[in-house]
Amino acid sequence: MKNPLILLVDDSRATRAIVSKMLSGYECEIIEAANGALGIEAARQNQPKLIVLDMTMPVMNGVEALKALQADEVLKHIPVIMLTANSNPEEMEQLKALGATDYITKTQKPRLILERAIALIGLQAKPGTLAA
Amino acid sequence: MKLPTYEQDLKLFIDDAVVTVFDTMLAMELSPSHRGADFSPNQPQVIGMVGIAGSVTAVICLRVSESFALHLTQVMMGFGPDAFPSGNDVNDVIGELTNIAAGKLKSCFRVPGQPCNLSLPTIVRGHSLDLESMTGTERHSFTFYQADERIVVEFYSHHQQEDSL
Repeated sequence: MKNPLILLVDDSRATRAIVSKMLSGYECEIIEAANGALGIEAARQNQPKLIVLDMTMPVMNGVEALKALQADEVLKHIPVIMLTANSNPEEMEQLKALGATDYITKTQKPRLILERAIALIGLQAKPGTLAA
Repeated sequence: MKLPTYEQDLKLFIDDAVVTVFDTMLAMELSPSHRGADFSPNQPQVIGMVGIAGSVTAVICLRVSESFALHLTQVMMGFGPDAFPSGNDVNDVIGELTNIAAGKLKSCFRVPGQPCNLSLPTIVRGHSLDLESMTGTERHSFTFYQADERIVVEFYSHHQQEDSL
């Protein structure tokens, strides 16, 4: 069976590196995009099992990208975890109302992304790794 | 040192935001300090700046030496000690750290029902850098240490409440 594909959309290469490294011990493939527009394009081409989507990005931000995903009949079923620098509960609820499956603030431990990914798409640890 | 209430609150917010960001993203423990910390004129620096617009109008600046910025980049991007990060990598890391600190501050200043937005990060690099605020803007400066390295956080805010009086 093919490994699940996870799409990371964040303009920060550093944040993408942290998330990719964290997921490297698990049975999944990772593709990356540096803004919302590139993320939508990558989602259309690859149809990932999960999208991790940053909020504040140039060209197309996370909210615009989330709306575009929800407007697409094929892509709207893909779970989306919003990654945000901000922890305002009102805005978080708005994101859920717009169709985000979940949200994680960047001041929370990055490991939360992993826990949500395990819960949402049944991510499995690679045999022989520390995560196993 | 006794601080006015606004500055006391601001110090608490900024201490929490900056200490949390460095702990979460870099596993580094920062110590807030009352010592002033001007950089020497010829010391190259990297400054990340993010604007906050909404219930508060402000700019937060995170200033570190270039050598410490390189170290932060190596740690955050998981580079080995021999790898030399590019200028873009350094900008990315300092910008992201400033952005996350600004996001946490934004939630501290939250007024229910009022939107508040962050700008994309801007990076300034060089030496002998002085930031000056416009009339009507207050400057607050806070210093942190990680071992012997300084992190200076400056907060420039425009008081809307005073304007409305």
